[in-house]
Amino acid sequence: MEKNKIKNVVRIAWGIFAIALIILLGLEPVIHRHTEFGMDGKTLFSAWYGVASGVFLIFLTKLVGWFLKRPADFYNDRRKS
Amino acid sequence: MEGTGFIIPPAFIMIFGALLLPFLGNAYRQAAIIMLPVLTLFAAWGVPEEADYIAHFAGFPLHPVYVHPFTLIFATVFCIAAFAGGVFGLSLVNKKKLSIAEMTAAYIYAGSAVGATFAGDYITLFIYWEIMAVASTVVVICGNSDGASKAAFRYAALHFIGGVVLLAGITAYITATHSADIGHIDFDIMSIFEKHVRLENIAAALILVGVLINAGAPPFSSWIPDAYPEGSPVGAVFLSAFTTKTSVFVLLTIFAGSQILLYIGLFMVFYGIVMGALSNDLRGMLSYSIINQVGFMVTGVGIGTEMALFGAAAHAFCHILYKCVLFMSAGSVVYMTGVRKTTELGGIFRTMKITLACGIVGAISISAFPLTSGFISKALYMEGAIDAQMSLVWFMIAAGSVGVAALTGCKFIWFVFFAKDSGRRPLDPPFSMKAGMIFVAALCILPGILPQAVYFMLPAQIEYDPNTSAHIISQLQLLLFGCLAFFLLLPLQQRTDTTTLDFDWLWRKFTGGFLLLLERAVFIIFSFITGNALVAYEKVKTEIHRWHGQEGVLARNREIGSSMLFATAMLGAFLVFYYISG
Repeated sequence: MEKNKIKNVVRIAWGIFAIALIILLGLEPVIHRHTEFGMDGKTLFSAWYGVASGVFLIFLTKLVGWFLKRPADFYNDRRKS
Repeated sequence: MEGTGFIIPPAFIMIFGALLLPFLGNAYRQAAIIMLPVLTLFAAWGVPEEADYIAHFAGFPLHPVYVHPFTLIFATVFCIAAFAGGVFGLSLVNKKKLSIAEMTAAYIYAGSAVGATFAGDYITLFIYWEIMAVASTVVVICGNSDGASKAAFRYAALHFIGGVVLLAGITAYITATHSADIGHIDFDIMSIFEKHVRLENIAAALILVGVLINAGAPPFSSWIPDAYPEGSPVGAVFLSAFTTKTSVFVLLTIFAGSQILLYIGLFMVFYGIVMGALSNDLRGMLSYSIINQVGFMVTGVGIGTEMALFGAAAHAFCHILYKCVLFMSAGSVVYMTGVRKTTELGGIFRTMKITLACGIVGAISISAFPLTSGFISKALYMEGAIDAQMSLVWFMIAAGSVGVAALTGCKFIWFVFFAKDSGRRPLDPPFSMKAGMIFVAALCILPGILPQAVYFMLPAQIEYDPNTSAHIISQLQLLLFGCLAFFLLLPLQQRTDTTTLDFDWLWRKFTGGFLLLLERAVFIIFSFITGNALVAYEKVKTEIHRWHGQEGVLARNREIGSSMLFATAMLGAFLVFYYISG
């Protein structure tokens, strides 16, 4: 019962999030972007740069994790496990 | 510098007040915990801008109360953090779940940080610097966790090494300039590679390294995620506020515009994001995010324009507030559940509603969402990068902001409070812990709505309004689309019960193994040398014995006639050589 309730809440949260993103994209023509370095003045720069940076950093984290992750008892004490 | 009359250093109120805490009754102790930071704040604000009380020590004029351009903003936020931490811990002090020793050490630590902001000379700065190191070590030890004492030992060792480097730099600086006064140093890292390197440049390099160790700059950064998670729920709040930000204050005062800081700062930004995202300890995650946030400030110091420097100072102010609320939220979770691994948490949003709400405020503030404190401070050094026409720096700071929103803000809230249901149903923490959290959470929002509430403490008035519609919308696009990437790629980011290797692997594992190898190598070499030496010694001894021993050629008893004959032959040979040589 509670699982279904949570699923509904998650769906609603995703819906609100999607609406917020669409509104933000819709507001793009309204704002006057200041171009300082060329690329930052392009339409929807912030949106695609946000996604691209997020994806890049998540994959970078995954890559670094492959090399640096060790078992939790690696140092035989309870530090930053 | 012309001296002014005697002024009580504001830090003394907090430090000496803290020393009285163990001797006070419970009611007076609670009053003191609340009032000491308030009184210190009043005292700090009461110090006139031109104040400069001069004391003499070892022939040097000391300036224990000197107002630097960024003193006011740092001293203010240090007092606010001490107040919030004190209120947060009151319930635990009452229940005797927080030792008086820890609260005393925490207030001495906070007071020393305030003192460092008023230090007009290197000797005073160094004294406060070391008091901070000792007091914060005590705070770590009082964490009483399994690894607290070991982490505290490593913490102390690194801080004392940093202190020694700083002291060496200060000594060299005083030798070179015959002055201990703190002021801006125009430092270029390349100057120490010149053929005839000047002592001032060596001094500046040593001071910079000493300060950067305390700032958590890699490779000397791992003490933060090593020690801070070992602190108690209250101790960690204090630990998160002072050491690294005092270093930022010193960098702003002495090394503004040093280009090397630009590169160090940008590295810290991404290092903190990536390593934090890999951490399974909820306070370890936040500890790495301190490195990331200090990285933004160090970058601002490295950019060096007025706007960037103001941004670094304002960001330190705002950062202390939202980091306090995040550590309070995380500490409340640890206190109420007894669990610190995110793999063992999740689903606690049902019962820890106030802790969640405050955590969300901290998370959106650290992510620099509009109408929060992080937004109004980060905007300043983004403007600073524009002023300096540093396009790459600007793009990297923007990408770093996305990383913080997605991999720190979203990750902390999602994996601690939501994600899979751990089955735990902890309640919100005791009253004073909630009060402390709510107080700081409110302070995270206030500057977002009224940026001038922070800007007015900067050295000069600025007419900058970050809350324009274009800025707000583009920032929301940047952050929310970054968060979209986080949620879409959630399956890639599942928690694992692991630890992540950091630079401290060098001295925790590698050095141990290396020393063992070295010991064996030394033993083998030593055995080889001593073995050969013994053989050689025996040979020499035999030879000496052969010639000079009892029956040796040169030691044998001879008849007196033989000796006379030998002496006559030698004399004859001498005469022959004498005549031949002319």
